[in-house]
Amino acid sequence: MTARSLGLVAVLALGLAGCTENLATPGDCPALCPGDRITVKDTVITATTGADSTYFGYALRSARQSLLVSSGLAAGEHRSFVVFGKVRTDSISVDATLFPLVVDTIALSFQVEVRDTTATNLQMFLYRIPIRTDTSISFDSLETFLTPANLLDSARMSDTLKAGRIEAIFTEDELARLVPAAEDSGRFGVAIRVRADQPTGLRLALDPSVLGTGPLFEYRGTAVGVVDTTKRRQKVGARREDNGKIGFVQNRDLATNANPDLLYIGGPSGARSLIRFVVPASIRDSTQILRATLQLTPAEPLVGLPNRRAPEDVAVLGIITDLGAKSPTTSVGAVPHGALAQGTSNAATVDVIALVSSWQTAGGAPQALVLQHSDELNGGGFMQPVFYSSRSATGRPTLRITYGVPTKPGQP
Amino acid sequence: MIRHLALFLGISTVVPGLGAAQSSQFGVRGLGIPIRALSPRSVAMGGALGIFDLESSLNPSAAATAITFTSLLTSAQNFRSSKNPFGTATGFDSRFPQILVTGPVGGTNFAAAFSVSGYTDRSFVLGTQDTIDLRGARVGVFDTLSSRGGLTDIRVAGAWRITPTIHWGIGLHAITGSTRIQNRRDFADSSYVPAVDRAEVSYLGTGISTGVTVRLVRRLTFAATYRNDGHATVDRDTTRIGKTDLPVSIGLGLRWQPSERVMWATSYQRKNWGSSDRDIRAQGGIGAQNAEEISTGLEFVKDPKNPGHRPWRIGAHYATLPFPVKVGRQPHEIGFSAGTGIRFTQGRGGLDVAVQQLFRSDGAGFTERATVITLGVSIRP
Repeated sequence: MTARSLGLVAVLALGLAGCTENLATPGDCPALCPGDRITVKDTVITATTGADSTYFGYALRSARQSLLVSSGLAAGEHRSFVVFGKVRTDSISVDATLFPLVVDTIALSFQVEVRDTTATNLQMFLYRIPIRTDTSISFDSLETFLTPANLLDSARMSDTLKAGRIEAIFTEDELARLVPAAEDSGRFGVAIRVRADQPTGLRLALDPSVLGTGPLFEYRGTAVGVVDTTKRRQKVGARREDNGKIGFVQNRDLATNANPDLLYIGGPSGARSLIRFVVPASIRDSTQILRATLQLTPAEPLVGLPNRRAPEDVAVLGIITDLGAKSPTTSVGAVPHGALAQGTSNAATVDVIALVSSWQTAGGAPQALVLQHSDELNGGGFMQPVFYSSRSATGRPTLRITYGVPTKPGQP
Repeated sequence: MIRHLALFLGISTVVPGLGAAQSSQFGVRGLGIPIRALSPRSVAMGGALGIFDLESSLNPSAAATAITFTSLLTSAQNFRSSKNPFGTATGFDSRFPQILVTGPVGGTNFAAAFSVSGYTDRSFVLGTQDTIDLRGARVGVFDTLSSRGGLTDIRVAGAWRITPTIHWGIGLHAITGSTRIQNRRDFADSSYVPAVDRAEVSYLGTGISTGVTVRLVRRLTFAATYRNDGHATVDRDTTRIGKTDLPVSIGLGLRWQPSERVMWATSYQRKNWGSSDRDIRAQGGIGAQNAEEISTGLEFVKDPKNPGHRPWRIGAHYATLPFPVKVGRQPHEIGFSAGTGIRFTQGRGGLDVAVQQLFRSDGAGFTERATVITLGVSIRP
């Protein structure tokens, strides 16, 4: 046999092996199909009575990743504060060379992350506060500094701006308001409140690590010898790492005198709730779960910041092992979009199929769910949802599971 | 011989889908649609030549005519249009229904053959739409039942040229294979993930066959075969779920060569699939019935010194199919075929092609029309 004919065989064999197929034929099951069709069933499982609890204290005031400010919300009043660090104001360093700086402008600016997009004439008011202010301050104590005498300025936010930078500029005689006291060693404290034509609120960003996206205190001026005008400035920011010297306070905290028979999430202390279920072995062991929905019934209306992008929500997480309040959570979870309907007492539903399916594996995760506020890292958010628990007479948490029963296909 | 066998095995490992022939709505039930283990030459002659054919796997005594080592790789392209009371669909698939090697045992009157052929094919996809109640709402569902695979017949045969006019052969068969079946339900509401149920049903059985070829007079040859396939064990995944009786088969054939340029052949086969009826019902099927096939074909040779080069072949066959789609309605198949071939490199290489037009029906609304192009590459080094 020649190499040519051998090559022909190889090409034919390989070429034909790559062919595709379409095996579809019209059918009508069960008349034509061998075997049974997949049967779909549905069941509702109530949370195990007495096995759900709320635990407080998951969020530190000094570890918040944003600032909340509000006015007139049913969710409570929020005030924020920032104590800026020391920065030299007499010179700037450009390419390792110091140049004298003559300050003629000071800018105080903040990055708005979230707002009520329907609020009009939104204004942010800035007050001078003592630099000793830290996260241990109470709402009432901070309020005592928010007087007309301490008012530095206000900055108006455009009604069309959904998110972005809002800035207060100080020039000429106004500069005197921002001169740090001699005993403050160049540091300067600012408190923030907000007002609009209707109850509203804002969430302001903090710098994750670099300067520029959070609160900024900026000296601008002239510097002989520096051509680039963007370098004729000194600035100092407020970063998350500056713990203790930035934060917010609020006048409503449901953790105070909390009802042990209800489930809380969020709030200043970052409440979380743990709910346990027992899914029957007949479902866990031999079915395919097609949908699993957690239903939570609010014990009081859900109030937060209305009309915001990325609404506040409940995050549902699984746990690796059941250690009560210290149960480590899994990466498997569900963060629903819009489960908490602002201003209503409608039941919140969250699809948790990935979590419940993880209970089906041998030695799998405990049959428990952790509820936490989607804005827990942002200080718990404006909304502090409260749900009925397994001990409540009505509205107990439920898990609705839709599952397919195996058919053992393969009948001749 | 060993070098050639290695080449054959090499090709057979490269080629997927070996042993299956074609998908069909008449392969949904039972063990699927039976495969005819024929060379393209025999296919072109309606299957009538198969019982005499060295390159087909029907009759072990046919190997006795081998005068040189021969290997054959067959592929089949199937284009199908299926119609039933629930709709119409077209489909296509490619399969490799047979690989065969055969050759004489040097210096003796014996020959041997090894082949891997399709036995049954159970490849199909059935789709159904419906609406069900879920959580108090009507939800559309789309059910898909799909199956891929079938049974393969692995044969080792020996043949004895008792006299120049009488040949006898015996074959040992291993019948094995599996079907991978998936039952799937998709929901119109994307909140529900698709429900999927899978199983692999595997079969294993053995069989034995014998055959004889007798030249009655100078231009007239008779052949007969008998085959008993015993039974196949049936496992779903790792669990034994039963066994299925496989058929006893008989075949008879007559070949007439009025001249060196013309050959006519006819054959009859019967397979008593009815013996598996009870087992198939016990496993949830709707039963099986005996199947028969009658075929006839002509070959016109252009050059008697090189008969495989550019001959013309035509044929037809009628067969009943063993596994009804609906109870009591045995389907049947009518086929018309034609083909030719070429030989090259002094006859060491060959390429044969056959085109079949098949019509299947069960007389109750299930019909099918298929065009099958069978291509065979043979090597005689």
